[in-house]
Amino acid sequence: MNTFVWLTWRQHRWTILATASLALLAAFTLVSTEGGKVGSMMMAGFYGLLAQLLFGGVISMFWGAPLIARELEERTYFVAWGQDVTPTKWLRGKMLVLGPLAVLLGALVGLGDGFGGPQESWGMFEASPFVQGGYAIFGLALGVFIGLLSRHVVTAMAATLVFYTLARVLPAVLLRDHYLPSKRDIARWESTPVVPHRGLEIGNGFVGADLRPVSVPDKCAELPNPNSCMRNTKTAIGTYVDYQPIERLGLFQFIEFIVFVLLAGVLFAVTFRLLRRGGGWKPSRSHRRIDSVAEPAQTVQSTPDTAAAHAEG
Amino acid sequence: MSVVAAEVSKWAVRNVSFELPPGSVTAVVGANGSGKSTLLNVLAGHLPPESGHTAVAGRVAYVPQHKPMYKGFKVADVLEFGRRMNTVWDNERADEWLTRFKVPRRLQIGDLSGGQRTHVTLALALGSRPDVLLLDEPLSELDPLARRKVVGELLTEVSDKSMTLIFSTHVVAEIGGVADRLLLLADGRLLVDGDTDELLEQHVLYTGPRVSESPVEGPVVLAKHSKSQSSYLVRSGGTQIAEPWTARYVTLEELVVAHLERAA
Repeated sequence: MNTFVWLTWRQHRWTILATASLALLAAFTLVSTEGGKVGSMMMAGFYGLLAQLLFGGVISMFWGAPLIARELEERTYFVAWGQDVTPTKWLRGKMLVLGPLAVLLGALVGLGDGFGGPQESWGMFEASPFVQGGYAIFGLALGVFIGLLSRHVVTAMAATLVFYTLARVLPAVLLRDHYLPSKRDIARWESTPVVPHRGLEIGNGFVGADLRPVSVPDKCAELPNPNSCMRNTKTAIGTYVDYQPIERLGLFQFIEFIVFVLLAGVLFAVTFRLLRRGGGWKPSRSHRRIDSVAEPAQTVQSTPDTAAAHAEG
Repeated sequence: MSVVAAEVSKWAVRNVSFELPPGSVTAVVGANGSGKSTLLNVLAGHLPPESGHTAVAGRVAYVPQHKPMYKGFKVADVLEFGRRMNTVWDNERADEWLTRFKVPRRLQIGDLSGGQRTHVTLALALGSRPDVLLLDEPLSELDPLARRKVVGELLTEVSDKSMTLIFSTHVVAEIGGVADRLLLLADGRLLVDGDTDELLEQHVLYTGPRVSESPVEGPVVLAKHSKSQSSYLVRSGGTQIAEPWTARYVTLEELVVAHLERAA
C-alpha cells in the first residue's frame, strides 16, 4: 500500500495539489457565505456553487481520464506493468489511494451551501457531502474507464466531459424526484391542497370520487378554466398536489450518493475485467511458468518442427 | 528450457517456434518490419498471441525499442520505483550500472540524452534480477564505444547471474562474438534458428568457374554468377573441394545477408 501512496504522489502530486486547493477554496467560500452574508463575499459564494457543480467533472477529467490513457499514449505501460506488480494490482493500488481522496475532497466541497439560506432546501440538493462525494468517486471511475478504452489523453478527457455531464443531468431530470413515492395532499372544492413549507412540488391535478387522479375530459380541457367544468360535471371532487417533504432531503441525498457509488462500482468492475482479459495486457512477469519437467516435453510433442530442428542441431 | 515459443502467430509474426536454454544469449535478427518487436512483445507478455503459446521460466524484464520511462521522474525515482514495484530488487546492481555509464543523478528523465535514457531503462531491468532479459534494439541510441562496453557488461551479467538474454537488432555487426544463438526472421517467418558457431561451421562459400549447379552436396543458400565465375554459399557442413574451386568460411554478417537476400 505504501508503494502506491508513493507512486501516486510521485506521478500525480501536482494534479492532486491543484484539485485540493480548488476544493479548499470552494469549501471556504461556501461555508463563509452561508446564511446570506453579503458584500464582497457575494461573488465568491457564487463561484463556490460553481465549484460544486463542476467538482466531480474535474475529478473525472483530470484524475480519471489520463490515469491509464497517459500510460498507453506515452507507452509507459511497459514500465508500469512490466514489473512484478500486475496491471490489476497497479490499478487497484492507485484507486485505493485516489478513490478515498476524491471522496474526501468531494465531501469537503459539499459542506456548505453558499446562498442557499440558513435553512436546508430542495434547491440546494447538491450541497451535501454525500452527494458530492458520490459524484467524485463516480467521476473517477468514469474517467479511468474511458481512458482505458480511448488510449489517448485528450480524447479521453473530452469523452469523459460529455458522458459525465450526461450522467449528472439524466438522473437529476428523470430519477431524483422519484427515489421514494411522493406524498399527496387532497382538498375538496372548498379549499386548495397545500405543499408543506419548503416541500418540493412534483405534480398536481384533479381527483375523482375514489380520491384517485382523474384525467381532464376533452370538453373541459378546451375551456380556459377547467376547474369549474370539472366541478360542474362532477368528474372530480377536488384537487391534489404531489410533493416530497423537506424531511426527506437528507435521505434523498444519501440515495443519490448510493446510486452514484453503485454506478462507479459497475464501471470499476468493467474496467478491471477489461484490464485483466480483453485489454491485451497480461501480467508480464511470470505470466506462464515453465514447469521444469512436464512442460517442455509437452511442447516438443505439439511442435514437430521444433523437435526436428532440435534433432538436427 | 528457459524460453519456449510454440507456433506463435501475431500480426506480422507467423508460426514461429523455438526453445532457448537457460543462460543462453540469443540474437533476433531481421529486416525492418520483419516482426522482431512483435515477437519480443509476445514473449514479454504485453501482447497475447493469436495462436500458439509462449512460456518463460521465471521473471521477465523487457526493455522496448523506444525505451519508455516517466519523463518527470528523476533518476533516483526510477530506482525507488524499481525497489517498490518488484518482489526482488538489487539496488546495488542498478546503481552500479548507472555509475558505470556516468548517468547524471540529478536530472529528470526528460532531460537525459537518448543514450542515458537507455542506461536508465537497462538499470531498471537489471535491478529486478530477471531470469530472462528481453532487449529490443538495446544499442540503437548508443555511440560505438558505449555499444562495446554495454555488450561486454551485459555478457558479464549473463554469465554471473545465469540470466537468459534475448536481444533484437538489425545491425549484424553487433552480434559477432556476442550471441551464441541466432534467430533470423524474415517477413514474420523464422528463417534460421541455430547455434552461431555451428552455423558458421556449416556454411561454406565455394568460388570457381561458372557452372549452373552447386559443386558440392547440401542445401544452397545463395548462388551468384558473373561472366566467368560462380560462387555458391552452401550449407555443406564443411565439405572439401578440389581445384580449381576454392572454399572459405563466411562471416556471420555474410551468412545473415545471404539468407535475407534469398528470402527477399
